[in-house]
This record gives sequence, C-alpha cells and structure tokens, in this order.
Amino acid sequence: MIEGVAGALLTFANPQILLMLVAGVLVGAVFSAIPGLTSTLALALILPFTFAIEATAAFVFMIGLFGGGLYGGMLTAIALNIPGAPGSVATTFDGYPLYLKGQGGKAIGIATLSSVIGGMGSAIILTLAAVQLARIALRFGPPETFALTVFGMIAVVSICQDTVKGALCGLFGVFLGIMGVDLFGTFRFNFGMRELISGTPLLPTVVGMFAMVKVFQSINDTGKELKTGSLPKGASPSIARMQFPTPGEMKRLLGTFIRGTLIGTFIGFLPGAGGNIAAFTAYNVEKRISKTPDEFGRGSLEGLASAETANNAVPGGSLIPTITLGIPGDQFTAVLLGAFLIHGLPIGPLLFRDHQDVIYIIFLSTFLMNLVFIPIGFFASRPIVRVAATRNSILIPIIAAFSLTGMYAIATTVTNMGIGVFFGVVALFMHRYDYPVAPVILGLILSTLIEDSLVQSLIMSGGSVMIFVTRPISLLFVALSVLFAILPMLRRQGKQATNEMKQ
Amino acid sequence: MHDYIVAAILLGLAGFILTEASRFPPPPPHAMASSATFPRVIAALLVFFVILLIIRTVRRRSSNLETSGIPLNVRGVIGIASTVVYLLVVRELGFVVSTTAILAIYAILLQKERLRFLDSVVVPLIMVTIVYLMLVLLRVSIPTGILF
Repeated sequence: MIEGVAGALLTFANPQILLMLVAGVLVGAVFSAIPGLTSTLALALILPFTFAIEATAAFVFMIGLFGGGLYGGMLTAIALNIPGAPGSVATTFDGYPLYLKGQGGKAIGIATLSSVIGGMGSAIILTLAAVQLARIALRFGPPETFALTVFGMIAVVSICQDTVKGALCGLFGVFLGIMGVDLFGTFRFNFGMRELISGTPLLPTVVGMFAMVKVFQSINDTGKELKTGSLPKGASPSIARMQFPTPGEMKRLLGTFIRGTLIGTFIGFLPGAGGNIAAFTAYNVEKRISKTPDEFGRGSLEGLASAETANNAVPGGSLIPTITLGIPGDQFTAVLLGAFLIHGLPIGPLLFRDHQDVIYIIFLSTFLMNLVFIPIGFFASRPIVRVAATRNSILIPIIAAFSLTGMYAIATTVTNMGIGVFFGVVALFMHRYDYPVAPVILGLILSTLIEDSLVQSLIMSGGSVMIFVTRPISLLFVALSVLFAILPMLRRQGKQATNEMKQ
Repeated sequence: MHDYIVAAILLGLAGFILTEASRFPPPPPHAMASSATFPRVIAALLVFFVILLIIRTVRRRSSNLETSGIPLNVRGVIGIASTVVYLLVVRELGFVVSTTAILAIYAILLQKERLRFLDSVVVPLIMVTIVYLMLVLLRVSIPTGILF
C-alpha cells in the first residue's frame, strides 16, 4: 500500500496532473453551485473529451469533479439560500442565517474547513478499507460475481422512490447492455444497425440521459418555474471574503468534524445514499447531542459544520464499493464506472488487481482535492456565486454545444448524436413520469458482467442454480439481495402503520 | 394512463426479446446456457414487473392517485423537432453553420419575454467557435457540408 501511495505521489509531482485536479474541482464547484445542474451532468459532458488525454489525468480530473460537485453547492446555499446540490440542503439551515447576520465570510470559512476535514478523513478511510475489501473481492469466482452484481442492481433499485419503476428501468438498461455480440459470438438485438453490433454505445447514452435531457427539459419548462441558475427576487449574489474559524471555535467543532466524517463515509458506502442523506443524518445527530439545540436553524456553527463535513465525506465512502466491487454509491459513481469501461479498464475486483497505479492515483486525488477547496473558497466563491445567476438562455446552449460536440467526437459519426438525442427524449419522458434514470445506466454498465458470470456459473454447476447458495460469499450477497428487495415493502408497511396510529 | 402506455411498450419489448431469442443458435454441447438464456430471464422479469405496475396502477386509479398531464408543450416539441432536423442536415450544411443555428434556436426558445441579441446570436457564435477549436485540437474530422 505504501509503495502504491508513493508511486501516486510521484505522479502528482507532474504539474499537469495537479492542474487537472484543480480544474476538475473548479468545474465541479461551478456546476454544483448552479441550481439544477449537477456534477454528474458535468461528468457526462466532459467524458467524451477525456479520450484525448491519458487515463490517469482523466481520472484525476473526474475525481476532482466529484469533490468540487459536493463542495460548490454550499456557496449558493449560504449566499442565496438556494442549495446548488442536494447535499447542500442542510447547509442552508444555518449557513443562510449566518449570512443574514453579516457572517457570510465566516460561514463559507467553516463550511470550507469542514469540507476539507470531512473529505480528507474519508479519503484515508477509503484507502485503508478499500485495500482490505479488494483482497477479499479478488477471491470471487463467477457465482460470487453474479450474486454481487445482481445485489448492486437491487441495492440501487431499492432506494428508488418507486421500486417497481426502478426495477423496470434497471431491466431496460440491462436489455440495452445485452445488445450486440455476446459470449457465444451471436449477434443480438442490433435492429440491423452496424453501429449497434458492439452494443448500445455507453457515452452517447450517458450524455443523452444526463445532458441533452437538461436541454429539452429547460426548453419545455421555460416560463413555468424558477429558471436554472436564476436568482429569487431580492437575492444578492454578493458575499464577503472567506474567514477561517478562530482556534477556540476549531476546538469546539473538533467532535463535530469527527462525527461528520464517520457518518458521511459510512452513508457514502451504502449504495444509493448520497450527500443529502449524510448531511441530514449528521445534522440531526449533532442537534440531538448539542447542549444548545435551540441554536440549530438560527446560525449554529455546529449545524453548519456537521452538514458540510458529512456531505464532503461521502466520496471516500462511495468510492469503496465502486472501486473494489463495481457497485456504485450514487449517480456520479455509476457514470464513473462507465468511465472505467470507456478508458479500457475493468470494473470490480479486477480493476484492483490489474491497475493498482490508477487506483492509488484515485485515492490520492480523493485526498488532495480537498486542499483545492481552500483557494476556491478564498478567491473563487464570489465569481462562482455570480455564475450561478446566469440566465438559462446562455447556460443551456453552452450545455447543448458540449453535448452535441461530445457525442459526435466519440466516433465522428452523426449516428451517435442521434442515439444521444433519442435517449435524451426518452429520459425527458422518464423524468416527467417519475421513472429513474440511474438504474438504466447501471443496467447498461453491469449487464455484460451479470450475463457472463451467470453463464459461466451455470456451466460450472452443470446447469444448477444452487451454486449461488452453496458458496458462502455468494450466499451472503443473495441474502443481502433478498433483504434489500423486501426493505422497501417493510418501509412502506412501517409508514402505513405510523399513519394509522396517528389517525 | 401513462403507466399503461409504459406497460404496453415494455410488454412489446419482452415479446420482441422472446421472439428474437427463439431464433438464436442452440447451446453448444455440454454447455448449460446459450445466447438465449439471459435474454429470456430479462423478458420474464420484465413481464413480472409490468404485471406489478399494472396491478398498482389499477389500484391507484380507483383511489384517484394517478397523476396526469401533457408532457410536452409547443416549445418542447419545437426543441426536439429542431434537433431532429439538425441531425438530418448537419452533414449537408456543415457542422459550424448547423450547430450555430441549433444553438440559436435553443436560445430563442429559452427566452420568455424579449429576445436578447447576446443570448440568441453572440453566445451561440462564441460556443461554436470554442467547440470548433476543440475539435480541431483533438484532430476530429468535422462535417464541412456545402457551406462551412
């Protein structure tokens, strides 16, 4: 492990790599500061252009994007009471009251420091835990891989608001993934299209479902609601210069930082639970144990620090299952899995075995990106808050330009653009009728792994499905899958029982 | 209503998968699975969840919980239709001209009250210049068409 980290440190001696990290964090922060835009959208837009750069530099940039995406939402949450990203909702509770008291600079300082501590703490946990987990994962055979990938799908579907719709979307994604040539060399479901012989192209699908859909949605919703990036009446994008907390305040917040880091990392580790759940959980825990719970919601430093520490501790946690097992923690890591495939890297345990150089660079990026938050907080918070106020009629054509060009650049074919536009329209209808997009992408990414491991397992067992329950690790994932499948039903019944008791 | 349409589409998809799978080659000797095995599993699961969706929709309809509404308005339809036209003409008209035009159309569709010259003309021109230079730098061949 030490050699791996040392090797990664040498890579960071290259100024170009450092620049990629800074650029990634900055772009992520800008995207997440703009309400309605996300770092996943930024990743989808930028992914096609990462072909032109080395995989290492590309992943450094993408990890920076992940961290910046969690950090930037806090700026508009404090200055405008508009959470740029879902993980920043809890930040508005105390960040905005502090801003109204004329302590906006201090609020940004505390939020930045909390983000740095939470992010670095979770990166250390990631490095230590991932190595151990990967050692176990490397022993997986086809039955374990099949049980694991099916569990990954079920875990993501189970946290969808509507699990039936989530399951259907996941299956649709798996169908898209099995198009093209299979393990036996059979051409399947390619509708006679040459472009589909090697399967549904991942990049145009991702760009279409995350970026083009935003273009169509914004056009369709023009005038209907608050525009993306527009300010509410009376809100001012001005903000004071960042101030760090005093040593006394730091001492007071030490416990909050530690609790927030642990909560954020653990929640990030759970499939599907993102920054918003982490921030809310840490905020509630802090409020419960606080000696001054009445201050929460009125500009409490503990409230602000807990939400931001936990929110920024999520990447470390969510990258553990993503890298070692190939199970994404959220939408961003689902697309990141696609990035591994696009750059010719395997997903799951094989990534750890065969590409340790890339893995340690990702770990170190997850650690170092947090340091970039400090100069951004000092020098870029004011411009970023102003960018968040950009009109839709400027912002959306910029997104469209990168989407269309990116889809074309992947294979210099207009057909790819057509595929992306098609999936953009499909995603528009999916959003309108509450069908989640993330399971489609995950299904598309995992389908080959699921099918290949299923076929190999059946060949190993002579056609018996009992192989999945007679091997301990496989049985564990089968049990977890059953648990996650029935969890939504139990949750629903619990809610019904609570409602009945209230009545 | 929309859930019934989705159910019909997905049932059609399951039918298509099963029909296609029946044409795949049989399993090789001693192999317990073939190209059709996994697609059949997917089709069966699709049918199962579609049935669940229909049952739930019928129940919700009886308790008036179903949401309704037209998903697209005129702007949305024009936006998508313009994009389709763009895809059809980009090779003939060339990347620069057609992309500038589609970005300008998007910008116009995104303005509710008065049209701004900056948003409708200047920003699309700047963006096309930026992405054009990026493509040149990446050495990606761009459709030039009859114009540029």
